[in-house]
Amino acid sequence: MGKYLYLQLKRLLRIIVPALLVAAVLFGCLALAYQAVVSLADDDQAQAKIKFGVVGTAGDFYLEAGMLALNTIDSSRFSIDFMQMDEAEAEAAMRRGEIAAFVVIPEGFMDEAMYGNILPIKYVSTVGAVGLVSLLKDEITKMVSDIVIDTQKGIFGTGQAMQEIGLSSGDAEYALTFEYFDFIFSRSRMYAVKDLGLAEEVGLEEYLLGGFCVLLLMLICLVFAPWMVRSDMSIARMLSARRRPVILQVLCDFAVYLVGIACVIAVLMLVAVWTGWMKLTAGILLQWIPIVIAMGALSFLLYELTTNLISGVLLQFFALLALCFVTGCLYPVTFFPDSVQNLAAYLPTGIARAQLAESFAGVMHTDGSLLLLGYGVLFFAAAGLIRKAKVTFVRG
Amino acid sequence: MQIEIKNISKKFKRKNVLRDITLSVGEGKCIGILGANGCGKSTLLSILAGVQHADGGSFVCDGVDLLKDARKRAELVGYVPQGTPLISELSAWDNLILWYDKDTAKQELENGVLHLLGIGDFLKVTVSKMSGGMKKRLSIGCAMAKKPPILLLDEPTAALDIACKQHIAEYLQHYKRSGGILLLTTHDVMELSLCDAWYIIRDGVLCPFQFDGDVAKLVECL
Repeated sequence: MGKYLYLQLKRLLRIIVPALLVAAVLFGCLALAYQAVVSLADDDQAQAKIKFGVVGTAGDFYLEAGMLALNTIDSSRFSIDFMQMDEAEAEAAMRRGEIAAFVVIPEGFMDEAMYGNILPIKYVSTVGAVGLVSLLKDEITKMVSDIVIDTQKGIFGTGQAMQEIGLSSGDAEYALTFEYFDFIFSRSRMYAVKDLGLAEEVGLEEYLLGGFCVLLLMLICLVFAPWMVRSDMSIARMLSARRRPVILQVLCDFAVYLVGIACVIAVLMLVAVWTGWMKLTAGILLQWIPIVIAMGALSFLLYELTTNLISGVLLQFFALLALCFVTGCLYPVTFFPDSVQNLAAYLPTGIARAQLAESFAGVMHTDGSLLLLGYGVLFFAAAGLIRKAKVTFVRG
Repeated sequence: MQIEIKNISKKFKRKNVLRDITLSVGEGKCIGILGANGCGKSTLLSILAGVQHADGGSFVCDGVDLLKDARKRAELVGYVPQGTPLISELSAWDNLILWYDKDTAKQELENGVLHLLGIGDFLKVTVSKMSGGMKKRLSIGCAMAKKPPILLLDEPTAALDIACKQHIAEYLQHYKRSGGILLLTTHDVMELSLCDAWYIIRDGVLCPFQFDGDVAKLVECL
């Protein structure tokens, strides 16, 4: 089979240049898309200082002082802007998306609070907002208003209860209030931000880059379609008649296919490193090996399933699109139901995306690589069986 | 040399495609196998070539069952399946060296089978740019790499023009004259005239048929 392997490599040489050119164009398009998404996310995050409307505080010394403190001293000032406005203005601003939510503090709130009566504060927010940032905004504003309202209710309620049983609430109430301020001003110690659904070490940028790489890899496999789809099995039959086993033919074809994919990836990586777009480490390169084997074997199997170019390209394209979508290569997997997320974690594209994202974040896990190699062997075996059936199935 | 095909049977699911196919062919003879599309002609040749297994039967040459002895079969039997058994991105020369040693190929191109087939005329042409006739001549040239005394051809001149058919027919006549045994499946009258005996496969059974050039009679029998 040495001659067959040699000729297949020679055949690869004939098509590698056009394949590289097409892959480079795809790479360029995807890289631009990735940059656009990342910079949009960055801008979004930079501009994600939540604007929060406060209605009904005008003229109230205490509330205005409190707002001034929140906007100038409190650690929340880096992420939240409290804006004083009237209700109509707040509603209009919220509809325009300028503020995430607003609270309406009823007239006489402070006077009543002095006597321990808490008038309900109305919290108004948008419904149906979509996207990571808006989800976070809604969550945070709700959390902040809950804390403010419930804690104040608690403090004043305690004061009132003490008065009712004949105890002086003065010192205790002051102590609780100061304790509360202390708690509010230093609350950033109490929580940690966790990326939704992503591995603990992986940030959004690494996640997107992982998905981008898997998508690119699958598209590179698609570039080889004219070369890989076999409508004529006669050479395989002739080889088989000359005691060249089908499994060895498939092994040679697969090995050459992997070499082709690896060459294209290597050139694109060099371009990415040379332009400073990506940093490569030995760890990242090692992670690529099982991924290329598994993804290559999957597309090799898909090519074996088809007998003409159009069906080959369509099957490959829709299969890769579906797999990439379900496993979160196109859109964060967090937005899918739990069952889909669980499934994605075991699908080859899902594992590949996670492995790459982790390697970009500097984390190495071998279990995913082993699983991918397992998938590679499985897909290759299936492709071998299909080829065998196609070669031996001669009717007429 | 003589070949004996005995009781070859093949079943696809419940359908008996070949039933007890029995046939013997002597040296320098050509057998034409005819039949309607899908009757089992290609199946029979692929079984004899070792591409697929028969459910039963034997293919004996010089006392050796070639269905069981793959090494001997590869040595004695040349097989040209339907289609184009060539690597389309490569040249005729590249395709030849898949089957021949370089030195042997050069020798055959000078005064051997490849010379007779006229392959030297398009040695550097890429297969995808070749005409149907060139491809078929090259395919036969590849199948003749070990100079097999038995040649199985599955519709060798289908869809070729008359000049190409004539060229191939001339080579096959030469092969016969040199003592080769030819088994070919065909629908073509020109190829039928090459044959010394004719058989029709009908309902999986091989029936002898006397072809006297009367195509209408042949069509009736199919």
